[in-house]
Amino acid sequence: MTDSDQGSSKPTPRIERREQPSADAAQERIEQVRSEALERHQQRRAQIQAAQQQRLEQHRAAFERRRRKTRQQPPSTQLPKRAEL
Amino acid sequence: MVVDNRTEQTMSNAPATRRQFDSQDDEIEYFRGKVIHWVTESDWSKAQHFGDRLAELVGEPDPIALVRQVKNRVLEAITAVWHLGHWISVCESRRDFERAAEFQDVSISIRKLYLRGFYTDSDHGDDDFKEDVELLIDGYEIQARRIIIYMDDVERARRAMRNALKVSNAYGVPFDAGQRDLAAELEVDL
Repeated sequence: MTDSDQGSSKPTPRIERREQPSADAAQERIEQVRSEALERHQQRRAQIQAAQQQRLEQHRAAFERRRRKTRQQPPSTQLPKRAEL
Repeated sequence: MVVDNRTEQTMSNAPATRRQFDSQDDEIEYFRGKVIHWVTESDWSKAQHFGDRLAELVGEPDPIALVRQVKNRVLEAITAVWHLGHWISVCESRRDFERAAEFQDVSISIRKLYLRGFYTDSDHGDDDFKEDVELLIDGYEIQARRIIIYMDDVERARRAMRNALKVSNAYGVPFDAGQRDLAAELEVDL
């Protein structure tokens, strides 16, 4: 008999002593993680969309400026750096 | 000054109000902002209410005609992307995500045409060019997130992010943190 065996019954394995989550609780946790992930996606998407709108507005304004500038300048034989779409 | 003479129906029983806009673009932006907000909140009745107003203002684009016009240089790519973006919001407000994704694919194609047609190789160091590549990568990211959230098609979302990665590598414009996170989530190797 070893010291650890003295005066006690066989110890319960640790895993059995721990409280087991119910299947419902595990499912709930999965749903929570999923819902949080979707919320993150939604927020990120909304941020990008807002930023894109702003950028497109700036681009449109830049286009307009370039177009006005092109109209004001006398015709040149030199090709512009960028071809106007 | 553009005055919106249509009474703005509120979602409650509050008295109808009249809103004034400086231009039709402002009016369109107002309604698009509202749609994006309510779609993000998953409040579909409000999203559809504002989406219907947006639809009245912008009209459904013809994707084939838009691409042809951009290729033939009779329409600015930016205008086509603009029009598609608004209609994508209309589709989302109606929960027609498949249609929204189809329009987004067209928008992405037009952005690529624009990058190839508008810039020369020597422009690739320009901030404008970099910003336009970022805009294209954002387009892929939005598409991937739309597919994950509403269409639950991981493989399709992964394809979108792989295509984004190709653009990123081809033009030397790295993913930002959000894009890297999404790529990791979809197991796309960077």
